[in-house]
Amino acid sequence: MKSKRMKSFVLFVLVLPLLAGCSQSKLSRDKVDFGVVFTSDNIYKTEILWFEKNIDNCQRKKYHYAALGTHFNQVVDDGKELYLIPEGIFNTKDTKKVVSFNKETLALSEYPFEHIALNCTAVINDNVYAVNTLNDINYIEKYNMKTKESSQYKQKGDYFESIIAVDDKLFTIVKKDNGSKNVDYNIYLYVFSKDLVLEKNIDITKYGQVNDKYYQDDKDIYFTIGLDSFDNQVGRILKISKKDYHIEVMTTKEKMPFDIYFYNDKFIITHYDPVSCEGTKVSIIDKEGNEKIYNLHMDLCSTGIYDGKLIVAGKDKIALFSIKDNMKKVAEKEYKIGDDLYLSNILLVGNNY
Amino acid sequence: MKKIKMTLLGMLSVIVAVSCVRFSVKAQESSYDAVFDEEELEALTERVELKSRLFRARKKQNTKGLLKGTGSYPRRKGNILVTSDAYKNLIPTGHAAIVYSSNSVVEALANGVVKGKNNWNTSKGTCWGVTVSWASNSEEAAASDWCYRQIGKPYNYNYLNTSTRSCFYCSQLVWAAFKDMYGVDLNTSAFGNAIHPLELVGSGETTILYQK
Repeated sequence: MKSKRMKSFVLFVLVLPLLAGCSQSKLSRDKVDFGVVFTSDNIYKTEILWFEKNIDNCQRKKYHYAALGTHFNQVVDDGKELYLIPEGIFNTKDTKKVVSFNKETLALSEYPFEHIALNCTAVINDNVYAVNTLNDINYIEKYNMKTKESSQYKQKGDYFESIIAVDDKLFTIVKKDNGSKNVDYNIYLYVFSKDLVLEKNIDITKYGQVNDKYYQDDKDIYFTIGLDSFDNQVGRILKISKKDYHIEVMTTKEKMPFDIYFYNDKFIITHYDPVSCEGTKVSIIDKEGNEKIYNLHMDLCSTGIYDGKLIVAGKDKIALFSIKDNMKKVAEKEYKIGDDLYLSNILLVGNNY
Repeated sequence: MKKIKMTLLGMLSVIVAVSCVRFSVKAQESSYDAVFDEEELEALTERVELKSRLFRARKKQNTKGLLKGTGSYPRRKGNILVTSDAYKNLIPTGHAAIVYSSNSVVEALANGVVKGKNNWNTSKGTCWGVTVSWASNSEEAAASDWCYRQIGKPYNYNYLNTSTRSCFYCSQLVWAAFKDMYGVDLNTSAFGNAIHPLELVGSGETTILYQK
């Protein structure tokens, strides 16, 4: 009787990882093209499901971080490393680090910061930057990975919502309370040098609330805008010249654009509300501005493009949609994630963008 | 010999430091336990559950098994967010915040007032979004700004001392905004002067917009 119970227990233990759909043995780098990050903000626990490009193979690995990454922010990719913020436990947010995953080895590195509640990160060469707001003072902190020296810019008031590395400049999206009854806040683009000298500020209130989702080429950077300054839903893409900061606005037929990619000479834009994670549509816009809209019939919350496919990750499943086949679903895999974890980002670590 | 002395001294310092931290956490825990009586908390939780059940019934949904919860998740400036999630290994207070913009919130953490992501519907196991029933959009927005202006204020570990404006804990900050600006008391009769985050949900002055 005892041995029968023992056998059942052993069988259960062996079958459990298969039920979850992802092996938990030692991580095999050869079988990894991208990872889906699930994290908790009330215990130091993160799990990444590392997938092969066709999602047949999945490996699960645990990390000791709380609130690692967020789908509100774009994962920073400097070509070698992917950078994320582990905020820490929700009522202290005091991890005070930026971490990076090496795309080649998946090895983790940590970079120390002075401030708590880090909101967003950016990287220019050897410098890692992080922005936060504490007691109405906004800090942009710079940490040099080689010299290990830190410096910071601080400014009272306003709200530094995000920072983005644009060549050797830092773009910062800033919300200002101006006491105006017309809008809750004015929105500015601040441009800093890589040494944190403020070089320019541009009022972009009339365009709306700029998401921390962008695509940049040699000449321009493109941001999505899903809400105007009055919180009304809109469909706008802001194109900002890197040379003279000239701004152009493109409109999308579908509202609430969020992620923006450029693939095969076309923009691929997801449309969803990042707060509620509701919205199932994707549009493809060609150079002439022609827009085709596809309904994926799956709520979009964290997406990426890899190997000609749009990856859509959810709390309980992941799916791949072939871009060249009119967003036809080509693969889907379910997984089981603990109730204490939530979805944050997709990490693209393979070489087949 | 000198080396041994230095090592012993170092070890002693570490032991003292660890003991101090443990004592401090223990002191905070006991302060919490003394104020937020378990029976009163159970009664408050029941009251909040009853209010939540009525809300779900009105919405004709049951949250069981649903990931996204019932109702519309708050994103309007001045809406209040509450969670009863316990923070393991420290003070199990739950947490409260006030929406600042569609994607950001203002909250009092242990180290001060910060802005964070408005993602409680996904990042928290339990979440309520409430609105002050009589307040207009602009009044709620002004309350959010009031919270954010409480700058440089340390965390208030004396949960009963809600009259102070020189330090705040999370639910006291939200409560104080509506109390000072509009004279409205979101506190309930539970826990004396102290304000548990769940009281912001249980208060007769608030209406539930969302529950997970």
